Amino acid sequence: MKAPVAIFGSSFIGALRKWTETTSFQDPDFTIEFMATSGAKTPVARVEDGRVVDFKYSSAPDGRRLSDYVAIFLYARMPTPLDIAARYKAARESGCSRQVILAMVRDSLEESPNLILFRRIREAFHGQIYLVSSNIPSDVAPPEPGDYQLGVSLIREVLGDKYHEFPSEMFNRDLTPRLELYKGSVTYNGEAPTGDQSKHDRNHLNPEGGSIVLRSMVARLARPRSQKQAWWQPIATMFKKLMAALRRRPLSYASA
Amino acid sequence: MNPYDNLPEKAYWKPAVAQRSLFDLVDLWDPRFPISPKDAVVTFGSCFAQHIGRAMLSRGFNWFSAEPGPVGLSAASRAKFNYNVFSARTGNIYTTSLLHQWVKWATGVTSPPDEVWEVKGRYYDPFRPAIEPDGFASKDEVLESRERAIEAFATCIRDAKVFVFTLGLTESWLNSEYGYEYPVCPGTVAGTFNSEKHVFRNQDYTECLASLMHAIKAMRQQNGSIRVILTVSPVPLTATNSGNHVLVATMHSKSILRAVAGKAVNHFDFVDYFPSYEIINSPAVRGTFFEPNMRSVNPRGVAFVMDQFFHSLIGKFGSPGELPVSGASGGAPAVSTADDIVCEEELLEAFGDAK
Repeated sequence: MKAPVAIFGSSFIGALRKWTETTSFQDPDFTIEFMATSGAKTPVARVEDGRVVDFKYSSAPDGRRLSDYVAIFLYARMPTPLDIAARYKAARESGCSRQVILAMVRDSLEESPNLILFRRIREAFHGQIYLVSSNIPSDVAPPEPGDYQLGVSLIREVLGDKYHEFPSEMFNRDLTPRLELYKGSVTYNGEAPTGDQSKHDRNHLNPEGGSIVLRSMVARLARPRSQKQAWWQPIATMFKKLMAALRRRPLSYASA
Repeated sequence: MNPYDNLPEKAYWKPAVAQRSLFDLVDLWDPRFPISPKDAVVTFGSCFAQHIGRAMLSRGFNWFSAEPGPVGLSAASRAKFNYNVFSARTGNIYTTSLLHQWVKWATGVTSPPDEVWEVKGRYYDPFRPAIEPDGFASKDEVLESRERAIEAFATCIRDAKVFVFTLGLTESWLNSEYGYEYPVCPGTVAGTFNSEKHVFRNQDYTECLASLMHAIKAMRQQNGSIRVILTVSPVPLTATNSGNHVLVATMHSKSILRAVAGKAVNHFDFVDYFPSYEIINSPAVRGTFFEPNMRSVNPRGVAFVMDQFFHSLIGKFGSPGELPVSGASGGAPAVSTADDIVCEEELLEAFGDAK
């Protein structure tokens, strides 16, 4: 019996869902379920009788209760580390105190659709919730050195371990997003952005980008104990590697 | 014929006040100059000044904040950290001498002292002791924040078309060594009181007038087109150190401030006086506009005063035309109800409650 994991959010999650469908992705331990509504309408989603309602798209079975999930990822609009870093620097330049800056960071996050959704879901779900920021626009200017890390650390000051950072594979060396992960992007219905959303194409990932985000999410989850490797396996692996190395080279250092 | 034969109705108490309902009182203010929705209006002074900024904005006037706070800070946090309470983050400026002190700092005539108060590892600005509710993290942070507030205040002087100042107190606390003034007695809101260093001065008419005249002249030198509207706060003193009963001390203080404002209006043609003090405190009003504590002005009173302000302007100069709803440069004032008014002086009440 696999444990259900939810990914709730906006059109950002379309890329993740599309990848699971096209590759028939199956995690050995978890069933991934998606629920989404377009970005501006994310705060419309609400909790009713222990269930999330009013998402436009859902892959969850009927009657799925929040309490069934072992973890929930929220992936709707929320300031990115670069957004937060830019606001931090502007606030510093205008002489704001650290208290004011931290309040600004907290407010910037708390007023985002992702945090509005978080507060609603938290009332009915007491398990682990992770929050993912908006995708970083593909055409963002290369950030100043340290800006991205500054933004991450500020977000972590507010969200702590709940913040789920984008994996490093999504970035170029200069911390701009890899453009190839945005080409052929999809939205929550798994199709290419149309209408108003097409203007925001730079904000949506393609299924390859979605797979990177999804795998980073799954990697974050605690595997059921029975499925994990036995406690002695890492030691055995190390021992095997050591023996192989010894066979390849003389024991010169042993007599040194 | 004598001069009283042809006076307008408003000149006679009986038809203008006694025979009218409170809400039919008219012609209480004869404004000297119009205010266009494009004119940048800045507000400073005692607690009551905050109502004026809010009312200006809600009517589509261009209430200007030179220090609106960082992007992303919520309205609640802006209020908590005193952004958009006044047009710069000066905190309350109760006395005319304190106004003059801020003007001198803003115009570079004098430099602010580097005095900072430390309490349990947090640091407070003696000139804005409640500006950050939990104090600052370091002395440098205090001084940098103060410097920004002074720069913002200078911007207000330089860019404002209308500078609204509400006179609040004559009682003041000075540093005896260097002569500078604190907005509240050290040791009350923050800091430690030192009887040798901190001296009380209840300023008289001459002192209050001199400070106000110097401040207005200095502002006008910076900005040749600035106009000033003075008001006297109708809010009574929270506490007095004068030795008088607080009710007597209140009337003493307000009477001086009212006379000082009148003198300034007579002296400068670009200075006007708006009678918020008279409207709230007139016997015709029978205390209707005070909260049960007989000190705080209730929302009906604030609305009535501000209605008089705008009706008088429109009555004399006509409607200012299409008013943009969001005319403010830099965000909405933090005040939303009478309870939200930021008033450092009110913290003195705690010392009375202990008795």
